[in-house]
Amino acid sequence: MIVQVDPASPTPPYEQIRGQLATMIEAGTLPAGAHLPPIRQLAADLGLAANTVARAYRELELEGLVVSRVRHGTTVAPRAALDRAEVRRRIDVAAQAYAALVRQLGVPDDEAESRVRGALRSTRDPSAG
Amino acid sequence: MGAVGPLVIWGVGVLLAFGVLVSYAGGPMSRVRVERFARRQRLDVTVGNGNQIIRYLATTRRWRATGFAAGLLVSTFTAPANDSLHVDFVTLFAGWFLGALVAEVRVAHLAHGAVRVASLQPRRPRSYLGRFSWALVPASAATATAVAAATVVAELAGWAAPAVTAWLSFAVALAAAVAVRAVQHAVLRRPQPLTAPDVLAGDDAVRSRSLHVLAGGGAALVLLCVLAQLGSMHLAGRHGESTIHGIQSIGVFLVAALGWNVATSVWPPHGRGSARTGASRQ
Repeated sequence: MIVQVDPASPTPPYEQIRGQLATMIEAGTLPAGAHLPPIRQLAADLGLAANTVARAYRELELEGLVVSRVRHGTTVAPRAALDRAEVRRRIDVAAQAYAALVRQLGVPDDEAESRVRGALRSTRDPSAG
Repeated sequence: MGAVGPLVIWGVGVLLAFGVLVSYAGGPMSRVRVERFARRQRLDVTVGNGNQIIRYLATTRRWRATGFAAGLLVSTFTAPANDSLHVDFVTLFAGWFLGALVAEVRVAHLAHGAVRVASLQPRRPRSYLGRFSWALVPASAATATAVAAATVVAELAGWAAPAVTAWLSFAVALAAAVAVRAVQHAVLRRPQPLTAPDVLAGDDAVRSRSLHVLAGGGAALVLLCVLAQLGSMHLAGRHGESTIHGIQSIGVFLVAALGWNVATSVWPPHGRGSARTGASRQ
């Protein structure tokens, strides 16, 4: 599993990291209990300041997605299974935000749908076949 | 020996130091050294990681040789007035190891691309060297502390009259242990942006060798200080002193053998397969 940061992107680096980790945790690619790399390691590997990665981790902790403990590092928090209504609500919120972005950027519907399929493929758990 | 003037001694020391530096540190990296590195790390040297390995070997050789030469000079300058050809093994080794520490700080890391990509796999010491090797430096520092405590007790009980060098050696041992541990952690944190698997395998091999040299050399330096602590205890009675001398005489060889064995040990060991590659993290 990897995380990537585009320094040229208008999205701040901490938000890029937070977003990717949140997606992996929500998708189950990063299972509960999985250790995230130490802040200084990830910051060094990405060529970022430690504070940038620390902020991403802090935001994830506020969202309840990870747990940080002294000397144990940061691990993915155990998550209760969401009911179908909550799952649908979250998907709708994300879909509407994506649709709004697509309209704003003037991207054709076909390309927007193909991008979603590509993103789904890239986050699919290989063990699920 | 007393007839040899200090200027001549100094000149010999400088000449030797420069001889070592010029002939050893500045020359091209031999194929034999690269092959030996690859064998110790079970690494396939490729077009992608060859230059990276050569750069690492050149950097470490340059700084270790510089440290060794500095140790030689210090050893020459601090020679007793009546012993002009005095060479202190501990000073030589300490100089070499100081150079090794500086080299590990200065080793170049992999360059970041336009889009920065990193693995989410935490880097743990266990991936690069055995538990025994990783615990060696703190264990050596604990031994130094135990000897210092024993020295205090022996002094209070009137069994020993320790010289000031006992405490100086203890301080050097602790300082060395702290410095080595700090550099070991810095080696683990050395940036490793995600790139081609063979380049990552080369980077892992470099990291592993660095940690092995730091563990073996660091533990040896701390344990040599422990032997110096023992030698400065000045136990009361003839038996005490002769026992300490015996421990020191054997200890120097054992410590040297331990340090060399750890620093040059093959990693990963048999049965653990080849060195982990970047591919496993992608």
